[in-house]
Amino acid sequence: MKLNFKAHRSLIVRIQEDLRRPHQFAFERVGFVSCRFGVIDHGALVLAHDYHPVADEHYEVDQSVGARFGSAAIRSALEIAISKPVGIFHVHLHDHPGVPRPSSVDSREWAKFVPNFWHVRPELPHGALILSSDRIIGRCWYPGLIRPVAMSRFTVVDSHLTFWRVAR
Amino acid sequence: MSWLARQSFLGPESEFVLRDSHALIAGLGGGGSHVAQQLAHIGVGHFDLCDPGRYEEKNHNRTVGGTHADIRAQSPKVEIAVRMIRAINPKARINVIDDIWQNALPSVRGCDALFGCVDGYTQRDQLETLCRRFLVPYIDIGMDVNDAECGYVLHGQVILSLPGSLCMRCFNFLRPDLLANEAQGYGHAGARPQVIWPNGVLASTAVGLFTQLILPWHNDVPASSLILDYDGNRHTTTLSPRVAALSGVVCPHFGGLDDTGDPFWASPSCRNKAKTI
Amino acid sequence: MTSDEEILELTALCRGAREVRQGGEVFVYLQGLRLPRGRQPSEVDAVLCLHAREGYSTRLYLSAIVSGCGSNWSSVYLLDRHWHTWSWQGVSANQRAAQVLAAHLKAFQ
Repeated sequence: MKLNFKAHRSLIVRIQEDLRRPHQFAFERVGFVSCRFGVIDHGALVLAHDYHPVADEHYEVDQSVGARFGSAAIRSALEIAISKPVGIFHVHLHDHPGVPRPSSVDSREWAKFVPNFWHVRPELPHGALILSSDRIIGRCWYPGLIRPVAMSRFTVVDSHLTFWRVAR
Repeated sequence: MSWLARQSFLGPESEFVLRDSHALIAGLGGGGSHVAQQLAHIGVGHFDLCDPGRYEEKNHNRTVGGTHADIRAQSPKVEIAVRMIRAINPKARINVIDDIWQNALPSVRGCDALFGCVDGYTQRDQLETLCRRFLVPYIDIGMDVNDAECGYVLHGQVILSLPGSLCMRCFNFLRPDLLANEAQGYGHAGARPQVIWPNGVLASTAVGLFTQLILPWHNDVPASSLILDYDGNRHTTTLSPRVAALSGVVCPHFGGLDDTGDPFWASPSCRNKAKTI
Repeated sequence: MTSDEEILELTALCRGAREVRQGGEVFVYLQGLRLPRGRQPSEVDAVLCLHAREGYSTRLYLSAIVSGCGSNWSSVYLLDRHWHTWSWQGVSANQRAAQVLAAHLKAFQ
């Protein structure tokens, strides 16, 4: 199946600005994007709706990774999914131009916590995104599929519509 | 040399961007047929063509690509558009929706931009609502001819409705009274006047707006939705004063969670009558 | 807003009912609405509009056209689905939701 991601540019800019803020001890910031969905030919659309930064106090000290957050951050994200019918996508920033690539740590950590969102919203996809300064990639845990699916087409919408494909 | 070499001012990647772009044209009559032809010529690579209608003699004064043989055969309008696009760009991927667009929602949701070349305010309202749900820029064209003291007034509009920006209700183009009258079956009875040259102007402007949307070739691109008024008696197309009057206004009609995506996700999806050729 | 009581009353005629919103308007989604005996289809999904809209005081939208009934059927895109509605005027909003629904279903009796 194909999964296409769309977001309004103002939301992407807001996310990038937040993720660029320095943190007291974490090397990078993270957050969650709440998403809605739609069926398209041969797949689905993932529509970014809102951004929820991880609160400063929810980070944990861990110098071996860019950012570590604890159960309080997950609880906050779960509460968003409980209160509204949205999918939750973890997001962080690789602040360079070009297509970002997930590290092995990213892939390992996503696989640990993303499926937890199915405890509260089993009918919705959840996943993870990485933003660069001008591109986005993402992976989606789609209901009914065992393995996550890489999103293949990305569109950022405003008065300049930009779209690109990422090879799986 | 590529057949698109003369539009290289659109940027070094323009050919690839256009080839990867996905345009849906709702309505393949006087306006939509022009749009289809021009999008094919500039190299748009993926089309969804939607119209349930059959070609008749009354369409022949204005439908680009229609022939006498099509009148005799009562060809599907989508078929005429497919033939025309294929003759221009054999590599274009074309999804044919020989049906009303409401029966092909998975196809409609997935496009990059939607050209509304339809009749009536209700269709426009519904198309824009869908576009807002799925972050699709909506480009609307339409013309009309009205009786006036001076004779006939030929006029029309091109509207670019961008997600997150002003909508057709903000511009007062869609109003509750117009929609109510249409739903009740009031208003203009009988065949509405339609001619080719204003459709050509409006379609060309719409294609220009689309191209600017995906390949802006200058720095002065309007940041928000806009409405252009076409005066067919003075032969002008001008930015409506409504745009300046609404500067800084945030659209109150769309944007909440309820208006984003599928509110019935995980329910059985709609029928899809599209076929790709 | 439709009260919980009214939502419950609606479920006498359908498998489920809940409020759904679009553009600031509130509708009631009816899953598996049973149509009057002998009608085809016998069951449809529906959206009940309990406020004035497009010149109608209230309106009922169905997931399928009812054969041989109703006039001037039109296609409507609403709540990201394709619905069908017909010309049926004069059902007042000044009554309980279940009464509004019953009044619209009279078209198929």
